[in-house]
Amino acid sequence: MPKKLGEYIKEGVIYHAFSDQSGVTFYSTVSNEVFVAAVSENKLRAAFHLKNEMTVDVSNIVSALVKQGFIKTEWH
Amino acid sequence: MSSNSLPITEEAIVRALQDPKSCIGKSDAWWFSFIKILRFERLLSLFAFRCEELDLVVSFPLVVQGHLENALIMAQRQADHLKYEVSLLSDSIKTVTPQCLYLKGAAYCLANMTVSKGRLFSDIDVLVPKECLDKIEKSLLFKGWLSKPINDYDERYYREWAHEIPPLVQSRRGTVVDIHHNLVPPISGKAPDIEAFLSQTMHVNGVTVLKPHAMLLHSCIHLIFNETFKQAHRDLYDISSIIKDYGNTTFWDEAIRLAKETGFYKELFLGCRYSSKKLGFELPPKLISDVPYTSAKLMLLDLVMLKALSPHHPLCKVPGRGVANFLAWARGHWCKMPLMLLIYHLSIKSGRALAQSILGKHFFDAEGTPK
Amino acid sequence: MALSSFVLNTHPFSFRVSTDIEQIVESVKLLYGDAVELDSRISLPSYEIKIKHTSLARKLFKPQSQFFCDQREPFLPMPIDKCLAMFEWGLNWVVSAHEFRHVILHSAVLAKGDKAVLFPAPPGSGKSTLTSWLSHNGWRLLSDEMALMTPNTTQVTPFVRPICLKNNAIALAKEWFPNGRFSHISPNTHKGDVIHLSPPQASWHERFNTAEVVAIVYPQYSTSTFCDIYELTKAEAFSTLTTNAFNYGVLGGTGFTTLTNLVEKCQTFEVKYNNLEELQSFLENDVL
Repeated sequence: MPKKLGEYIKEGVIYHAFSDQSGVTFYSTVSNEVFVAAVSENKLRAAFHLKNEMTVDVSNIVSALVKQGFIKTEWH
Repeated sequence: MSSNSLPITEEAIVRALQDPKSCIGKSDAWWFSFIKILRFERLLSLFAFRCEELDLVVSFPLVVQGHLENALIMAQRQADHLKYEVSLLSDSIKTVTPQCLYLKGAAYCLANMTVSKGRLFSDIDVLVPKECLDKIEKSLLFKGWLSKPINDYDERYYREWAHEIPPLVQSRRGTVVDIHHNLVPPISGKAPDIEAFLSQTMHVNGVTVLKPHAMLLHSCIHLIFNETFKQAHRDLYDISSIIKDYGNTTFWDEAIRLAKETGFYKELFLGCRYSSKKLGFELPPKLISDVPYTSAKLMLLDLVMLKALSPHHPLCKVPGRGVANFLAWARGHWCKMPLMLLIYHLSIKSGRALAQSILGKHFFDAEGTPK
Repeated sequence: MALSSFVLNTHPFSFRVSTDIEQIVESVKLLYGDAVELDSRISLPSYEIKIKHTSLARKLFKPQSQFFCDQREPFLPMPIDKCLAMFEWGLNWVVSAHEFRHVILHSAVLAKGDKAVLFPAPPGSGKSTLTSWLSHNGWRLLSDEMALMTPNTTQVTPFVRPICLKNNAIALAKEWFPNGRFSHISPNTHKGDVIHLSPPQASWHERFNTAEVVAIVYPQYSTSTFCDIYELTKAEAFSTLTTNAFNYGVLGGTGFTTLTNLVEKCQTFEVKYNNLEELQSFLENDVL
């Protein structure tokens, strides 16, 4: 799953975790593409070794994804 | 055509765009026509942008507010999306060549120029070396940029006579890219020394575009070498906006020098002349005084071009236009191709009668200047 | 026939329509009722529409109709027997090509009172049969094909227009609603035979009243299934919804947040059914 994310995630991501834990969705305001991951927020957090809660403004998930190499730094 | 649509003069349209506040209190019938004309002339989002800047939108009827809001959303969306599209396009092109120059609307937007505000563009125009055209097309096709289907004859025209490839549509996103290797079709025999232009570029926001004075010249060339003039009126606003923002002494010196160096001084002169006449601004003396035509020829050109460059929407009545449009169209075609090819082209596209009437009654000599 | 004009006052948009096709004038009057204003006081309609015969010469040999939105002609000319279908598709085109103040979903939407259900559906799912049934059985139609969502809310604005029925649905509907206001059939369009049915008066009367979407239902007619209901997870619901949203791309982030909000606030169901009354009962008792 993380590998797939790398193809789609760019800067300016809007993120939403569904309240029934059924998955998360990302929208790239840059490429106008939507990615829906049917993986719970917990699993996603574990995949990126996030110690903190995911913030609504997605800044910590973005930085985690940058660290993992999934976001192109030139988009910052 | 509907029975009771109000016609609007060109002067009124120009005035409304220059001074949107003057539209407060206009009648419903006026607005109904005005919105239609603006949309057709691709000026609706420019008007919307200016109204928004002046906080005027709420002063207009609700239906108008809706149209302006829609236009703004569309223009904003295009601008937002361009940076990403260009990045992908550049990545593809750079696998073949480092020379990747963005032109016209895309360039204005990437360089964040005032002229780009509220300006919709239909294609992304990019200039690459001629010898790389095929390779680039292959690379783009591979990445999912597909050719826009156009009819056989038009495709042949593009490939054989204009040395351009047809516009490519990105299959998933719907972007159209127009890949050029020159600034006018070389078949006209008036192809500019491309190096002269390439030395007048700047690097901004990660892309290469022409410097403003070269953009002005290119815009003028594009205006004059038009095929149908159907949507040329909007280009007058591009010219005026570039001049307004950048037109200092150095700018003009460089524009004139580049124009003369590349052999397009006439186009620079005419483009600026018509924009200034129609939109009401001043040109510098050095451009006004250096007239590349006899007064008789200039009068004839004015007669034709001032009419051809008016809005083309049927609700904007321009007296005596029918004939002038055709002649301007003929001039556009004339400039692009040698005489024999032009006749062939016209005889296929529009019938023998048309070709004969050009031969019989033409006002221009084979080089495209009036006799 | 000479060119005649009228205003089609379909909230929230109005159209000044000019046509020289008698069939259009008759059909539109039949299907739109009071929304057709021959002597309208509306002096600033939203859009200008023209639907007319092609040329006089063609009229005699192979009559066709053309659709214009002011100077733009979005479709190739179509044979005259499909002119009504062309008119309806044309109106859909005008709205989707120009209107970005709503997030537009390709979906039917019906309501009881001010509680609405979205029925997004691909062709062949029997959605229009369901739409015509519900609108004649206590529900009001807000739209047959285009749900206009106010951004970042669950509010839907009605855009009441005739229901488009295709192929097998035509015979069924005529059987159920013998007094229904049906147009003539447009035969052999790219969607098959097409007919239009005007929703009952109640829908027209309520056309200025918004509603709140409380559920999203994907109906799938299935001869062998009485009524099977499956609730989608929110991730599944969202994923499916985005395939039915045709302009959220233009609206960017707003489009996205509108859809996530909608999916959060509503339950989403897939229903396989062959019994409309059972489906209606489910909707009225369990969903609303």
